[in-house]
Amino acid sequence: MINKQITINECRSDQLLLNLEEETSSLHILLNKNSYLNLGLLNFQKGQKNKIEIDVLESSELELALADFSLGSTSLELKINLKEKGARASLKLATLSRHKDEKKFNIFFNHLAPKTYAEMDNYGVARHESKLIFSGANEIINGAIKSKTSQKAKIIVFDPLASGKANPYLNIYENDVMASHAAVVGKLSEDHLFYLMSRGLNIEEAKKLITYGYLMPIAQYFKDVDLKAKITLSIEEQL
Amino acid sequence: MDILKISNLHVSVENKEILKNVTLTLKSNETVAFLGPNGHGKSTLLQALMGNPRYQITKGEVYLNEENLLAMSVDQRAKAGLFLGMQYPSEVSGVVNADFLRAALNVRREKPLSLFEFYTLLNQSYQKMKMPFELANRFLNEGFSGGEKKRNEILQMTLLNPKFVMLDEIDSGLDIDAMNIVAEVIKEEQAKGRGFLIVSHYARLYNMIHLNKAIVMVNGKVVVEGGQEIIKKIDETGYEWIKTELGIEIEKEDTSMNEISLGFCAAKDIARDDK
Repeated sequence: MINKQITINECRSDQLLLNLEEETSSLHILLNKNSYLNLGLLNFQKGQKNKIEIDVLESSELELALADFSLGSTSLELKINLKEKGARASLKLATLSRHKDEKKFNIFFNHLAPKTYAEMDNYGVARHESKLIFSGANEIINGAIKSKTSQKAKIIVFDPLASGKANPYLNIYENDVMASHAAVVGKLSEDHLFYLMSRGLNIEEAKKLITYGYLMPIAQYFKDVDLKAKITLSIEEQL
Repeated sequence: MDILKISNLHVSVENKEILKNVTLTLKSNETVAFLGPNGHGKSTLLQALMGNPRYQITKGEVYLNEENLLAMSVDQRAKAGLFLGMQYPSEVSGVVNADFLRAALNVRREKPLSLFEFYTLLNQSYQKMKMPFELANRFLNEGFSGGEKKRNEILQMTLLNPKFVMLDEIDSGLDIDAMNIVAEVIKEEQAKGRGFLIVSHYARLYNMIHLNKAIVMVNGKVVVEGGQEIIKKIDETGYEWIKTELGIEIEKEDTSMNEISLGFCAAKDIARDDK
């Protein structure tokens, strides 16, 4: 088991790319005051068990993109603590589970100070007989006034034996805040499939086009051009 | 000449019979105006012909030339030459308009179009429809105005080269300039020999294109066939004359509410003040 600690110094702006398949099983990141981190997390190969905790201090900002197209079961626990006033964090996640994989993503945003901001968008596709779970909670403690938190979790269940669960929780202990959440788990829209098929695409082609469009936007959150291409290729191959 | 022959067609939706014994023959090179009060089966016929699984065909036959249309899947019907310009085109988030059109074109070809060929063709189509090319890079119909969605349907029709075109209220949501553009394009496509079945409530579009025939559907049946005079009569006096002159009672559109359920995803416990 490998533990890694990364610190972003005060007033620094950094960009980091981490491959989760490289045996990093526990990671702690600290963003000091007024810093910025663009963090890309990737997994293309085998499933992993990872634990990541990120502390965001005053007026610093975390932009996190996570692309998991690994083979095998994966478990990720991600905890983001917005510890001081003005701390901000956003997460975009895209994942695909296949065969008999079980992929579980437990994601927590903790608002521990006033005027903190968090936004989470999770997109997943569950194929074959796999199971995909998005769970976790956004919590705003008493005293974290004027904080904003939002969660979106969407899973397309591609095949009859696949399953998806989206369990986002909001734990709100303060009145003067804004909080929202949305969770959607379902099959591909029949209306969308009909529309594409009415233009000549067969059902497999229509499903692939929709799913590709669903997962592809994650690529734009990675700055590296070669990496964008690798993500695109990975999605195409797996569909 | 291509022929679409509909014989004794009965169609149900959720076990309720909507179309009752519809018989109609459409020929390429002909344009038929398709009128009737709301909720009497016009869209049902178009959707059922296209193969929408929500519509169950309980009886009857449809042949496209010698081929049994009802035995074909939706995409096979499209490739056989049927096109439906929908009343409410779907918004498909994540699917880029251009990617979708390229896929739809390439499934009809042995050798896929090169990127250059495709973008040249697409650019010409957008210019013809007087639509900004940037719409090609947006998600399919997402965020499009009502008029843009309808023009996008016509754009797809011009690219996909169908034998028969069914247009479901293509004029709704169009301003007068957009209507002129759509009418011009329809006339161009009519000149190429395509057959048209066009649903509209208003004479305006019909007056701008060539018409061979008009039919009126009431209570799930075709009750009147004729020419331009039918459209003029309906435009001026509505559908009341169907009852007075033909003795056909026009059933009221079913506007009963669906069962709905209101739920909450968050709740706040409020302490009672019993003082």
